[in-house]
Amino acid sequence: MKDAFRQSMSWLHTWTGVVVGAVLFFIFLTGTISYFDAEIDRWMQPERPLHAARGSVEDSLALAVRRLEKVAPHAGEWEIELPAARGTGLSIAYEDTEEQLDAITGEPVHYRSTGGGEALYRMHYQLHYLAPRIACWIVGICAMFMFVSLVTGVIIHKRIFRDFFTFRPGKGQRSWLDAHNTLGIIALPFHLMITYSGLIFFAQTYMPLVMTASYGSGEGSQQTFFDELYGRQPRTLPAGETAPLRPFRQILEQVALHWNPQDARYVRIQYPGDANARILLGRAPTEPSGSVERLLFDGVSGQLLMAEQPTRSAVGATRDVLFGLHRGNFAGPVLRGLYFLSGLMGTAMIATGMVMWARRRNADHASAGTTSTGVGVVERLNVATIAGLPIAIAAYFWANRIIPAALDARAQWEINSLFIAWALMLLHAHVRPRSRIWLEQLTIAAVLYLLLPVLNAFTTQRHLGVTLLEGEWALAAIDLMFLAVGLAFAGTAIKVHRTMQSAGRAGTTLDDSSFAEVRTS
Amino acid sequence: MSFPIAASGGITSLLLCFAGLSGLCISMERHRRQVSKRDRSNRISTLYRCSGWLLLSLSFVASVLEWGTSVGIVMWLGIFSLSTAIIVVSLPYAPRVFAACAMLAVPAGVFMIAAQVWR
Repeated sequence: MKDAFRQSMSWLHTWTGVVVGAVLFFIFLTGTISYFDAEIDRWMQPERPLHAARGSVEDSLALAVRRLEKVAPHAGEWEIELPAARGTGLSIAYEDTEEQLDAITGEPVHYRSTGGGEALYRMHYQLHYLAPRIACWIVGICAMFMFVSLVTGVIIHKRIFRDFFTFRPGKGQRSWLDAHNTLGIIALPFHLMITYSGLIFFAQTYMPLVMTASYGSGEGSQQTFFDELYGRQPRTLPAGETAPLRPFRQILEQVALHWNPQDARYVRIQYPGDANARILLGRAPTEPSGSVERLLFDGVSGQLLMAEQPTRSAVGATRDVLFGLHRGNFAGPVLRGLYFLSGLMGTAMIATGMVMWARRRNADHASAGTTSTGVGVVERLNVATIAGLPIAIAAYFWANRIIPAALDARAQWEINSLFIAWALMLLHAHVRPRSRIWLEQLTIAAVLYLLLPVLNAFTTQRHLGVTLLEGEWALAAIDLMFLAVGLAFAGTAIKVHRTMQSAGRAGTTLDDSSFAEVRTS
Repeated sequence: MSFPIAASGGITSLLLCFAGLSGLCISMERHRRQVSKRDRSNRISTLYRCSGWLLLSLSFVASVLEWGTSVGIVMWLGIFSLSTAIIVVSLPYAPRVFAACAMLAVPAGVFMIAAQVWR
């Protein structure tokens, strides 16, 4: 009975994995990289000052308001994003226009338009080229498969504690299974948290009837639900009479009663210059539950209208913690690094699972003396995913440096480059002989990543020679990461090459080769 | 700049976590044989296991002391994953180096948490 249960779980685990593995790999890899979105934004806009300058909140606000009064005195709403620790600059937004300002002089600056880390972040849940609703469902279904895989994986793993530290390299299928198990188990809390919270993000889309049961159907009822969910205040309307904005110094004095005003991340000013002006200040979260902490002021009298509590109800608090944990916005540099590492482990776990499926089927067919088109297709898809997607991401960074800074819609072309490169890799994996595709794509990946810092040195003044000497670690780390990823791919390619040679001598195929680990970027 | 402080608390927790997990690892006969040719008795095994759990708990305490409960727990889970990854990779490829690091991590970690508590 127990064994039958385990067997059926094993079946479920294997097939859920193989059905959506490629999409999950995409979601995990792009999501993991976007933990460093702000740093990638900086790398992708080499026109920015080398050291991110940062004035006090008072000064930054004064500069931003001065600029806004000049360019958009009659806008209904002003938004100001303040410079923060991770090197984001001062920027303003009004009526669909966004402008980046010099943090010291307040003059507008023109950086190249880029997808940046933001595009990778969006991609990990909106995919691309798809209607948001369709993407939302695809991601949701895949995340559910992932969740099922995690739970069934724990059930079919017979000796979680006894095999906790077990990794036996150089033993073919055994090594792959060890790696897969270890990657899954040692970061299991992260995998469960990230998958479950990922599902909760769009729970209203996946289970709309739960909302309908309490709030009725129709647009208006949905609005009520979301207003209650996010604690939104009923919107005030402009009074139509002019009144000057309260000086920010006095507002910040009041902010200081709640939290350090220097922690403010963004300021939203509604109806500037109107008697009903509202000023909303938000700060960066410092722990997982603090995903929203905002203060709302009357913009004219300076009176505090609302201090938003991070916790509104038990359900709301649970949700905030799950979202806060998923986004990791509260994380400092060390924890951010650990988030990145855990994400990579998840990505590698998916990759090892995908490879293992194809290897086992190949071995079965080899011993039975048969061949299978299905396994061939999966294996080719595996290569195009596990090596091809990192190649596509490298192409994204290459495009950022190669596409002329003045080109129209260049940000979109950066993203197009990513998907064109991926499509090419998919094509490559299907036209080349099956025994060569791993080696060829791993080599392409190694070359692309190893040359990225070189390309950077030729095209910008933000290369390793500058960033390392000037101690600009956030930027240097990205180039160093390219080198490390390139070396990992090169090492894996060499290993595959050696295995192919020895297999060639022994007269067998690559099928039973043992490249100990396919590392992902 | 808060980075050096965060790093020192993180290093305390990492050292203790690595030391504790190494203890738990070596308490298993299979892994003990990877590290040393001599087979030790079961009593040694119990000693490794107990001190392993103790050091692991201390590492959790160090993490919570440094970052508070909510961030500390998240941080510790990350440190746990990192420590285990280091052990799993170093054990088959460089068992001697692993054993030496584990031996050094015990006093270093204990010293650092003591310094942190009496600071």
